[in-house]
Amino acid sequence: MSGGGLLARAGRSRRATLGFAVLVSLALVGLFADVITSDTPIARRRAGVFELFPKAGDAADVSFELRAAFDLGPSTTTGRAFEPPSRAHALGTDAEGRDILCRLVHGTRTALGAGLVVALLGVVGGSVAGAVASQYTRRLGPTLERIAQAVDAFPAIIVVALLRAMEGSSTLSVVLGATLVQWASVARLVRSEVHRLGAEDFVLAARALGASRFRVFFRHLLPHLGPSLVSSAALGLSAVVVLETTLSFLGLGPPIHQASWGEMLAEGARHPEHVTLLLVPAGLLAITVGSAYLVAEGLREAQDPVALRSRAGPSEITP
Amino acid sequence: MLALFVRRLLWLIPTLFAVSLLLFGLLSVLPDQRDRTGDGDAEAESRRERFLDLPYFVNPSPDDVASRSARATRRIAEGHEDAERAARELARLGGAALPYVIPSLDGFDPERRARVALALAPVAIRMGLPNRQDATNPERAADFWTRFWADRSVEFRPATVRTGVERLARYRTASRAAELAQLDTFAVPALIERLEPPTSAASLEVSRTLTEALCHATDSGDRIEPTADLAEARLVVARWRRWWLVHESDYVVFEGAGRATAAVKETRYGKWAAGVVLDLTIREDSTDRSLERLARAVPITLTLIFGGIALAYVLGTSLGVASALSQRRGPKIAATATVVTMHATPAATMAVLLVALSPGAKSVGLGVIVVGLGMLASPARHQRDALSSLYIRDLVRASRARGASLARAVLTQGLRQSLLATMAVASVEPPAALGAAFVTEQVLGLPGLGHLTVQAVAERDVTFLMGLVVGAVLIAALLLLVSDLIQSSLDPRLRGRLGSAVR
Repeated sequence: MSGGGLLARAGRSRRATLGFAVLVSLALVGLFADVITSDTPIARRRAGVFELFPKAGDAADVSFELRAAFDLGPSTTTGRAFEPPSRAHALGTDAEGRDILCRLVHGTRTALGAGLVVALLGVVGGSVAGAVASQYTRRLGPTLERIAQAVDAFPAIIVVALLRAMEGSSTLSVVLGATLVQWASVARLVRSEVHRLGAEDFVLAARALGASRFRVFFRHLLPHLGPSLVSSAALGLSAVVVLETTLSFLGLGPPIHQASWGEMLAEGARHPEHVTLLLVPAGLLAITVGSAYLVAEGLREAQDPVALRSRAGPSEITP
Repeated sequence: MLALFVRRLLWLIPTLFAVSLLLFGLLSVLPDQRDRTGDGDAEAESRRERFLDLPYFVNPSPDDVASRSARATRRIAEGHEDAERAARELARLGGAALPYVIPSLDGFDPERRARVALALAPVAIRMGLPNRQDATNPERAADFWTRFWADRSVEFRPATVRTGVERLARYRTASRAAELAQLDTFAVPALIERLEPPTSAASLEVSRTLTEALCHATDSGDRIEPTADLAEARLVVARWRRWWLVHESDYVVFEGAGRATAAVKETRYGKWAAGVVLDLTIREDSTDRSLERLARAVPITLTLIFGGIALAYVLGTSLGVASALSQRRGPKIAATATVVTMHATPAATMAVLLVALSPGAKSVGLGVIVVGLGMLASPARHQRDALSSLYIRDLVRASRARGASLARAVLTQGLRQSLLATMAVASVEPPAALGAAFVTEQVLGLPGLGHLTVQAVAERDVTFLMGLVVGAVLIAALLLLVSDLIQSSLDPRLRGRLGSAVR
């Protein structure tokens, strides 16, 4: 069986597909946050010059202007706090009169942006480290494994807090701190998977045919790691989203002009009488985490045909 | 078994070392936030406090009082353009430099000798020597110091000083203080060594006397006021310890083994590591993150984390067993849905909702429930998977063939093995649980570590956060060890494998 076959099988898993679709659409929302809702125009032609995402400024000489679907920025205040959902504000406004939907959209960018970057960096760094550790089994491998094991025990939240105290900028410290911790678990996963696969017949066959260590790794082992890597990236993504939310909930998050789910949750916790404030960002966070869980679960089952067959439990195996 | 345990413990040392190197590297790479003020001496002192003049890891020729005084003497003698600064430096080094400066006077011609001897005048005044006006007289200064050295050089010995300090600490009379003052900064190392954070009224008096002597020798004003209470006095002592970390090489000569140690100690990394250890051990009521506050905060957070994990594993494994045993699809889906929902719900929301459901119950117990519910997913899934794994099936099938019911077969044959697999996962949970614990503390208003961490970030207390990281790594490493031990005691086959994994 090849890696492609595995991914195809995962694609037949409805749960994995659903989770993946949700994650992709959330990422798209984050990517196009400024197109969906913003108080500055997306594009305009001013005095004959075409500008993309211009800074708000004098609006004279504007011949053409393309504005966002909702004309509100993440920190635009309407002046009316705790407004119920209406045509103008689909989800109402928060304590400072800011549109909840708009902040949610921009919070998606903060959360998913950090999550995707860390997940990618973590998978790439972790794969390289894991591959190296699995190929050099004499000294380097065990040492790397030791380091990864120690780093894996780092609580990401304190590492980020430490970086924040030393460095100041929050988004960077979240990405840096989370990546610093994230690579370790991926590296350990890759190493153990390579060890497990190394005993398989197809690897032995390739080796018997005279394939070099690196050819075996890249041609025969790496394709099999795909699903594990995707599923660990999905779990890493959800872990970072939760981390970012936790940090901004505690007040260690991004600067005020950026919206963040955690900050919205904190506001919801401060005003327990307005339940929407708390439930809406929590719901979105839950959807993200749940989707990542579904993706990971679906891929894992696709990889493990036994688990797939035994979804019905031990009853099947009894004679 | 014991060998495994010891080997694992020994592995902690390089791990901690690597962690500290990593943090040190990060600190060195990131720019210093402190702004540069002042010039000349102030700038030099500020650089010194950050150890910027030291090499990173190895210092082949560490500066000590001998090399410093030799350099200053040469500059003064040659009438170097920096002579005035060198004279100030020599006066600061004081009595500790005398054993190196006075014998070297003979090597100079009269003019240079006079210059150096005059530069020592502030020391004579500080020491309160008889005829000290001679030291300020260009014609008599050199003779004054030569005579002084002929009379008094016997007293400039570590053993003499230590006796003097001990007597001062015991009798605390003015005459003892005057005696010690005549040794000037030569007594500083012994004074620092004797200076301990006071714990009672009597030791407060000792500390006051000793800091008084230190202040006199170093022209510092950081003394313990007569009205100071124990906490304030401990703060002063802590500041002196910190000062000693920076200035030790001004008063000590590195010889023999000391020189080898200094090659490592007198480096940026060495000073930084020593400073972190010092900061963590003498951290007093100066900050809100004192040891006392920590001692109250740590149990709360640890209770939340480990209570939560325990709760999650009891509930989760039961759910997993139930889900694996269940024959029908409905309950299975319901169990999975519950677990995923709990996993996906943010701790903050869960905490607020639970508080709303049971008003007035803002306790640690409630926090444990919040943390625990959020962590159900992993034990439930692992338990379910482990129970339906292949290896266990043979056992179960055999048991069924012998006539046991399905539930009995699974519980008696499979549970032990599957619990083993599930418990192996538990040891990696604490780092993940920390975030949830912090949030829960915030919502429930519990005075745990989360609050202190947020404060530390706001005040840029890097040392505290570093201590937290190291503490967390230590706890995690110990947990890993304990879980390995438990596993190998449950499953004898693991013993050989564990041993070889460490090798």
